[in-house]
Amino acid sequence: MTESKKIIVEKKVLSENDRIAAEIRESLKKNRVFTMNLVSSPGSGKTSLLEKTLATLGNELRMAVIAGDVQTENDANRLLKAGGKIIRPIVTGGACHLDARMVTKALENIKLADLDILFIENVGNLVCPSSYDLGEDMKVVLMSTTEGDDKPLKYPGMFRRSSVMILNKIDLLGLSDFDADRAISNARQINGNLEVFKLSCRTGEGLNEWYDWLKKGVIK
Amino acid sequence: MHELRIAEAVIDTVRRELDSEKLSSVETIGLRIGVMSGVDPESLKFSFSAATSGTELDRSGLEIEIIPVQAHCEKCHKDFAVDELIFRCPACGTSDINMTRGDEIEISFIGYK
Repeated sequence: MTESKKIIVEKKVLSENDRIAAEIRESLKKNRVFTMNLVSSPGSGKTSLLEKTLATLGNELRMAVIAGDVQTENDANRLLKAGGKIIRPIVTGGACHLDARMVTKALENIKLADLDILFIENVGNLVCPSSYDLGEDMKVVLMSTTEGDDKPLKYPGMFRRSSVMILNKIDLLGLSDFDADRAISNARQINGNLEVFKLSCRTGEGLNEWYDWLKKGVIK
Repeated sequence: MHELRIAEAVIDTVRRELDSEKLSSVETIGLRIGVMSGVDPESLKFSFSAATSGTELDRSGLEIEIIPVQAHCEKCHKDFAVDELIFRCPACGTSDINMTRGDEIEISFIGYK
């Protein structure tokens, strides 16, 4: 009977993605591009936040957006209409997350030296994107007041891996049982270092604090 | 989580690590899957089975070690297990902690005859 043999592998399954992401990160760092990977459930307001940001800060900061979705370029088209100058859609056709290879392709023909900020709008999904490094400086997780306030406890991986949490649709507080303090306390239980912004893309409340934070991030 | 994609990535790694004539002798692929990785071990086994069916690897199986969440406190340097999703140091209460184990998606070994 042949003896069983063992090869020690000790490799990350997603090491190829990590390798490509590291290359992206080096490029972005070299060109001092402040890069954020925006994640959330579908419908929390990622595109709305970017529409407002591009429209308001478009003349002050040089920004680009890579907008990913399973189907359609609807988000990218909205961002162009809002005044976005450098918008690149990624249609995954089925993949539930963006990966580093897709981002590398989208960055072709973008002159990084001319950018202050790169936003990567991920596919709406709080599970899968958390394992795929895209070369970003940080993840920004959005949730809204029309979701459950226990969201952070249900998706600890994503809230743990994010540096910023944005609570959107605060204009709708009181129309459901959503408790903003409880949501933020749940988020801080998972990640005590989260920087939290409470805002409404629709009314504009709280957006100035977000814009100020972005500008500070660019200077750093 | 898209366990089929993960299974395919495991298969790609095995094909890179072993000469093609050894593939049909692979018995076990050892994986480490962290509790916070977002990957469901049973779905992964099912996907792996589906992805290897009819190939040289169809007699192989996954041996999955599930890794619980461990963290290290940056303030008092205590190492501790994270239970019940409470990411705070049990000794000094700070949330300035780093997860040291629990989100692995790794291949540890390939066992073959």
